[in-house]
Amino acid sequence: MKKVVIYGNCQADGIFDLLKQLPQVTERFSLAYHFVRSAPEDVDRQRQEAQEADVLLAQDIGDWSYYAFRDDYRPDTQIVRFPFLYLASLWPFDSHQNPPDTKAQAEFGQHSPWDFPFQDSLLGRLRAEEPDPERRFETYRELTVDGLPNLVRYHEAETARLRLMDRKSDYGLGQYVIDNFRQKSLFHTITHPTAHLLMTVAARILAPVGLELDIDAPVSDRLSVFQPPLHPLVADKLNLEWVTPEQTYSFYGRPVDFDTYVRKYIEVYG
Amino acid sequence: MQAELTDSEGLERILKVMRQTFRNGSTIKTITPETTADDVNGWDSLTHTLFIMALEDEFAVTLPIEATLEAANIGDLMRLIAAAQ
Repeated sequence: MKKVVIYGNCQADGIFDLLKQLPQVTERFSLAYHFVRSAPEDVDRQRQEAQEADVLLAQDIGDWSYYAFRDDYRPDTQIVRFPFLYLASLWPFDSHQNPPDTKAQAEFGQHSPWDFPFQDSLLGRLRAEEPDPERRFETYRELTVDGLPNLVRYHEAETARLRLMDRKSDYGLGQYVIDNFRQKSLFHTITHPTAHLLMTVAARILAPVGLELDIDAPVSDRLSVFQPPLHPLVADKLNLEWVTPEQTYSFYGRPVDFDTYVRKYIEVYG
Repeated sequence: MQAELTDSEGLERILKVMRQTFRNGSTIKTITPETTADDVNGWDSLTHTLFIMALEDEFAVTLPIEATLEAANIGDLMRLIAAAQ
């Protein structure tokens, strides 16, 4: 049985979680996952896993240069690099790529069951600019505020980034996102791909290892538990065919639509 | 035009954009043409594109995105801005 280590952030963990569910994988490979930073209690075990690995699936992220076990792999370990996938233009106000909503960030964990793990920079900004909650909701809903990025231009830039990413890897995953994001949901959050996309990634990076994955195999999509709604004007500008006016998203398993999500965010964080 | 952007005014305008764009942007004290993304807390692959969008607004230019992604430092971005004007 070949020993495989998967290294990277939550997306790599997502691939690990999916592969564990597939008998065609687990019958041939033993799998281990290494997060970008190791907990002290995991160091000895993970070093041994690195030393014994036949295959390393390593996510192409900046943290790679700090990976503690890089030098522990054998010279004959097959190393397969794969990209960090995201399409930030789908959530242009998410705090991952904007100044944070510091109030929501500070209060995270205090409002269960209505805690928002993906904070919204624009709603944070509007808290100061529009004190009335209903007018703030309307301003956010219609994006009648200065200083916002051009949504179409932002998407053009993200598309260019994905194409450049493809020129530096062998898997064409950026083009896959570009070709399919309008027809189907490929991301649950700005950093969490759907199981379908992660299976597509896994299938392409495991092909050099000699494994043909069925990307439609039934799997549990753990990352689907939280889905920040897409802004309707973003969906409109980017021509997202799969987003309907009645679209709902998962808030830790509860279906919520865009309006409910935003009103609740305003109610919870003031 | 390029000469204008290599002076302190160009750097000051880029610094202003960085402070408005990045997490903890207010903590950025100074930049030089040699400043890289590794030197700036909050300038990473996720924040880069919106930073470029903000630079386009600040300088009223359209930048070649792929070239900005391959820019090694602020000096490279300044040259791209100058070339786009």
